[in-house]
Amino acid sequence: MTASRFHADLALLAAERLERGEIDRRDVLKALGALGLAAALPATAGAAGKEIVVVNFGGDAVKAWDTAWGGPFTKDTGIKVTVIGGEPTPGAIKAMVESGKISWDVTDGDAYYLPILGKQGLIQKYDYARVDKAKVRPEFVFEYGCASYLYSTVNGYNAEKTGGRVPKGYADYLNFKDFPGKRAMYKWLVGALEAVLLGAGVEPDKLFPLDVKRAFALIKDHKDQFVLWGGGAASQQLFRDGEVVMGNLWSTRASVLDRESNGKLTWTWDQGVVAPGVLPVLVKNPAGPAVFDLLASMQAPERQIELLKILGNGPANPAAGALLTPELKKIDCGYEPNYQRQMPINTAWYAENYDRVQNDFLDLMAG
Amino acid sequence: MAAARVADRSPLAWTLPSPSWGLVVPLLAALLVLYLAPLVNLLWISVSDPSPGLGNYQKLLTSGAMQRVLWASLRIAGITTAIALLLGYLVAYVMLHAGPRHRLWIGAFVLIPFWVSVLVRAFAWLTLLRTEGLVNQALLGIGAIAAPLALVRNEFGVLVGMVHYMVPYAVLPLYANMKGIDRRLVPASRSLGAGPLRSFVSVFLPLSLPGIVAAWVLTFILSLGFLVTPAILGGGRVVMISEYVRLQIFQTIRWGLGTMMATVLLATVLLLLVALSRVVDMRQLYGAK
Repeated sequence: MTASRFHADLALLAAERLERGEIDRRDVLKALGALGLAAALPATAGAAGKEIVVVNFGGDAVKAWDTAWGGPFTKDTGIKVTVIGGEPTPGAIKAMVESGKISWDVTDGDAYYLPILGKQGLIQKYDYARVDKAKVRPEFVFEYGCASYLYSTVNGYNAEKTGGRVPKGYADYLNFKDFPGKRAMYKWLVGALEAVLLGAGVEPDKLFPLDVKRAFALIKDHKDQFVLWGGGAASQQLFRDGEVVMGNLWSTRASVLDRESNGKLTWTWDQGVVAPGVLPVLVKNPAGPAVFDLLASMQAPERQIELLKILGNGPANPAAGALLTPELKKIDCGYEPNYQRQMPINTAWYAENYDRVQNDFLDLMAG
Repeated sequence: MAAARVADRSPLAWTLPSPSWGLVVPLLAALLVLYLAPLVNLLWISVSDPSPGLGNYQKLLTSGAMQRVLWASLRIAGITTAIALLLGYLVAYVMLHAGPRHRLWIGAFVLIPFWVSVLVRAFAWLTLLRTEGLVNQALLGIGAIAAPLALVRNEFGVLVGMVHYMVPYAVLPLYANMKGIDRRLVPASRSLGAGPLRSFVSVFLPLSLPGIVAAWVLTFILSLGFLVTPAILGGGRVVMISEYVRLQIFQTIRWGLGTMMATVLLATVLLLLVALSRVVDMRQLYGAK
């Protein structure tokens, strides 16, 4: 009993020295091996045995995050990164933390629910000593996280059905005279009300706070014209099937459609709503502070561009712009000239109003 | 009567249940741990989040939106059940009177869709019913309609998908019940001068009533809890309880409201069963007697 405690302490001590850099990993293992203790090396011992679990919403993103972010970080540090596809919704994070068995370190997420999760003590504040604020546009830096990538909810359109006419951003979203046909609309709100209000002629700089009442009235007026989608694949299908002529579409999906249809299904950057993809870190995350080293490493422009290449997500680091090829410039929502034509999402408004307005919106659509 | 029955039993029988009960102990224990405990937790959250009390239940009384969700669920489940029962009854009736070979084929056509995932079926219906889908294209092609019909992304689409899912659940209890009906009774009624319709209405139909009730309970309760089919085929325009609960739990983190609605769903089902048990003998319905 005492002996094993002593051995465990010895291992811990070695691990601490390893972490301080007083000895290297090989020395530790050699020493522990001599004691027959190699397996006793605690999980907290520097890189040894450490693993960071990253959860996103699955599909191609699992492999893409691994290639762009996980792999290079492992190569640099020896820390294993496991990317899992799942449903890391705010509710799932809450359920995991409250169960007490926390196995995720960091998840894919949206900025607007970070304050809600933060207030309930479910996620950690970002360690900005490790993650560099300067590598992100200031509008996408928050207490509980900053943008790791960008995505934009743009106005996509079917050029064949519009007869080659290009809608002026969302300003033509409600223009049924010149662009007859149904409109795609995002079921989970981000970009939906913006599209309607801009379509009614609201100036982009006067958009927030969103006039929800007016937006709802406008939707009611044209209710049969909107087709809701809840996920990226479904939105793509709506355009492919010719169900809609224009409407909400993530730029990541828009670029795929554009490529496969040779420009028949395409999009305009004008008035796109750019939102940050922020990765919340769970409280008491198993890998500890090392997760912030991973998040910091993900800010490297080359790694962000890698993700853009595979998934079409915009680099959050504006420095990536200088390294882009012409093809990538075309699809990057964060590339300065594209960014200038769009607008950033008002995260504070969403944080304040999302839960209420989302429920009212569903009620409106179902009513 | 009751007193006499009690007197019949030895005192020991009261203290020691039959040893065969031991066989179900593992199942009961599993139910207790895996089902009852989370259920209690669910109830608890509904009266404690965000603040202790019945606030969440009060909201149901004042919120038009929540009442609409509840009402839509009851209405859609009700219509689904009625149509599925009618179709299921016809299928079961034909199965009963078909030859063995024919019956096997009908059985296969009932059971095979039963094994296909609900997600696959919903997407299949979406492909068939959408504006530029097979059904609309065919109708346009033969000139039956001038413009595509709105067959999906509305309540109609949801009903099509749900009825399709529910028909096997109606057929199986109905067929099981019909098989137990004495096959000589209808010919006997005919020989006494009743026509085919009267023989069916006064003899066969009343005898198949337990099957109808069993099928009704099964399909209605399952229909109330539908999630995937309304979410996909409703295109956001049909929100039933399960989707509402999902939204509150995962998306907007209003667990109190979500668990409250789940509790209301559970209570509705239990109340239905209690009400029903007063009309029919449940033990007989499910073959316990």
